[in-house]
Amino acid sequence: MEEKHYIEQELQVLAPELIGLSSKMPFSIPEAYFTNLADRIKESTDSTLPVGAMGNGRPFSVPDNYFQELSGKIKERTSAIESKSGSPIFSIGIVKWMPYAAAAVLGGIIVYTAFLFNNSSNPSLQMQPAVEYTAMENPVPSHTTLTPDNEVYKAIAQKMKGISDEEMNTYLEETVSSETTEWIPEEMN
Amino acid sequence: MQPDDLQLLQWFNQPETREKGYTAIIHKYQQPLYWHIRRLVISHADADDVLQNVLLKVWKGLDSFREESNLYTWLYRIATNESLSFLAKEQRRGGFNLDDEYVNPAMVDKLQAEPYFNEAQIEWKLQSAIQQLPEKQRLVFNMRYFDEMSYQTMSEVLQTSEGALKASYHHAVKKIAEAMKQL
Repeated sequence: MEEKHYIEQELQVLAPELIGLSSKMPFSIPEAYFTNLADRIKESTDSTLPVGAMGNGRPFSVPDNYFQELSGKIKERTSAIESKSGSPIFSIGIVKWMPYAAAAVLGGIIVYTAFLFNNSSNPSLQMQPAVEYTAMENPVPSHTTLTPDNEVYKAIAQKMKGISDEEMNTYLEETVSSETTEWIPEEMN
Repeated sequence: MQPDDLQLLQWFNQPETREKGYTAIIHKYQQPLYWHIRRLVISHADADDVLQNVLLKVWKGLDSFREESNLYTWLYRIATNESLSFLAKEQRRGGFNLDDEYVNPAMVDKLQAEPYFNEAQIEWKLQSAIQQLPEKQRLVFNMRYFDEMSYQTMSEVLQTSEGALKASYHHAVKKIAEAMKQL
């Protein structure tokens, strides 16, 4: 090997007595150590496989007959506790708390329904669609001014020709609230 | 003939040949890695533990191994770090610092506890002299003298400059030559 040559040259300068010393390792190793190493390592890696290589199986092991004996062990321990305290382990019966739970659930339903009903009968302005909001802000288009010269005014006046003032007043009293009449120009009111 | 590192990595990266690739990597590198570790930790039981840890780390980390770096260098780096961490833990020291001049007094005792230790034999004498070096020099001497590693490769493994490694090796050689005269 080329590097060996450089190493010898280096040693020649530094400490020639180290050249040619046996580089053989005096340490001992068990027989067939290297033959079995790969198998032993593979056994270890079986439990540390990367996530992608894992199946759906559980990597953990349980003692033989663990599950068969489990219920018996639990029963033994619970009966031991029961005999010590002289009373059942679970003293709170289902019958005791059931009425309270039912009342709480019923109360919750009533409050929730009331809340929903209240919301739906008085929808806030913010919850209405934008189009409706705009319509409320500008009940009459801004460019329409109801003066006697206006086309809209003329059309309305034409349509109302056959209706007497008395009939109109009666109609307005019956149908239009006082708030709404504020929008109607003086000439029409 | 052993397959080259590129071939080994290609096998490892394919799910269907992954195990074959890993086994081939073990077969190719188990002996150099073992002896590198053994020279640092001395006892076989410790070397075996450390080597197993190294190979498990290789299994877990080979996915993220960047192929532009050398597999041999990468394996040596893991083996070196594991060995030095093991020694630091054994000494209950916080960690290993390649700049320190720490000489581990337990190493000579460990060597003398080896089954076939014979202080009259030249190989054991050499080992005794090596164990009296600070850890950094011990490591560098072993890699150069026994593994015949170039300074460039050593620099990649130990992440240290070639100049610093040369200086360490020179100091180590001088000290060993001196110690051999005393033994």
